[in-house]
Amino acid sequence: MKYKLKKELKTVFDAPAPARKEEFINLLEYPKANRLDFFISQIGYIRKRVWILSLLLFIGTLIGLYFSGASYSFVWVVSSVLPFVSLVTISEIARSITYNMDELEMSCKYNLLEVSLIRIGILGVVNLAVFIGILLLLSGKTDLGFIRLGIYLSTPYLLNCYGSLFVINRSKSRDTVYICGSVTALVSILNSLISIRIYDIYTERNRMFWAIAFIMFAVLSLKEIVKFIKRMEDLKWNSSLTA
Amino acid sequence: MSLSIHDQYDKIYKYCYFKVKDKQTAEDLTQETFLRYFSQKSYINKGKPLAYLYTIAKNLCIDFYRKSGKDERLNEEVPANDEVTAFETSYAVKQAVSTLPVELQEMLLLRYANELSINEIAQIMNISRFSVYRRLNKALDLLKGVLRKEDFNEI
Repeated sequence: MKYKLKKELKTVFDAPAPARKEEFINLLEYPKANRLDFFISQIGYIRKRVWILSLLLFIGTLIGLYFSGASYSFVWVVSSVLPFVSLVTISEIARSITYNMDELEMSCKYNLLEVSLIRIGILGVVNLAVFIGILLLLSGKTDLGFIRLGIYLSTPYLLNCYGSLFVINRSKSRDTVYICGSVTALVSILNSLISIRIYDIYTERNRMFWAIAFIMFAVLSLKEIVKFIKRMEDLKWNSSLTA
Repeated sequence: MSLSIHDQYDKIYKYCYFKVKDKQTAEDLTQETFLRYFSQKSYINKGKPLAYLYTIAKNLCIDFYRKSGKDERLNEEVPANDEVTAFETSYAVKQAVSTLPVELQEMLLLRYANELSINEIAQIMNISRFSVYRRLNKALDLLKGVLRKEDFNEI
């Protein structure tokens, strides 16, 4: 009875239709949100797990450094965990696409491409902040230089970005996030195995291997990002034509 | 505003209509509410809590009664049948609601018709969240008491 009653109460207070609504709203000069407001509002839509995981990784690094000191083994542990931070980011991007945000786009001042790019930008800044924080902490504790350490940590991360974006650009099913999760796990395990099996992987001898891998994955990731943007633009056109 | 201005217009209008029971006046007060809401320059980019919009509407309705010399309490009935029969609402529930004190009616409107949160209602009514819960439950209990179960089942 209570449910029925609440349902009835929705309409009990209905008033006659207003006569001058459209005219008033069209003439009303109410302040519209600017770019900064839009940017800030998008932060609120990013799920808590992104912030929590980023924070956990950062705290984990601090604890790891405190207890074990920096060593090569710690470098590969961190570089194997970093792809999971990018997974959370990727899952945020995939969510926008797989849950048909393009429908929402049509009623918004900003289109899906802008919304997606703003979110990617925010998440990229968060990832970069975590990454630089970890890099600063580790570089002081190891004899590896800042740049070398940066390459060691970012290469698996970039590989994961490339793999996940590759999946997103070619799939629109709701399982995309799970496929991205599998890619991340694969990258992480691969990174761990290589680091354990090849004992001198972080030495000067393999400098070229790391440099090539870093550049290659950076270029491939960039290519996928460009493809992603183009795809969003196509979506915008499709929506316009079918609206 | 975070929510559509079209939606909010309808809701504020519904609220004003509940208060003044006159279509023309309700719409004037609704428009005045929005003009005042957006005239606050300090909130241009930050937005204002939704409760503020209702507070303006509420104060405007009070001013209206003060100026016209009418007594708000005399107008406790829910919109009369002739104007609202077009709407598919139960006559029995409408009658039952009209027997409640006006404060409880207002609370039911804000909560169930305009779908405000408990927190927002507490801000508008200037009471605690606990009081809102308590009064809403009281209103529902009173309604259930007024409505005979068999009557209500026919809805």
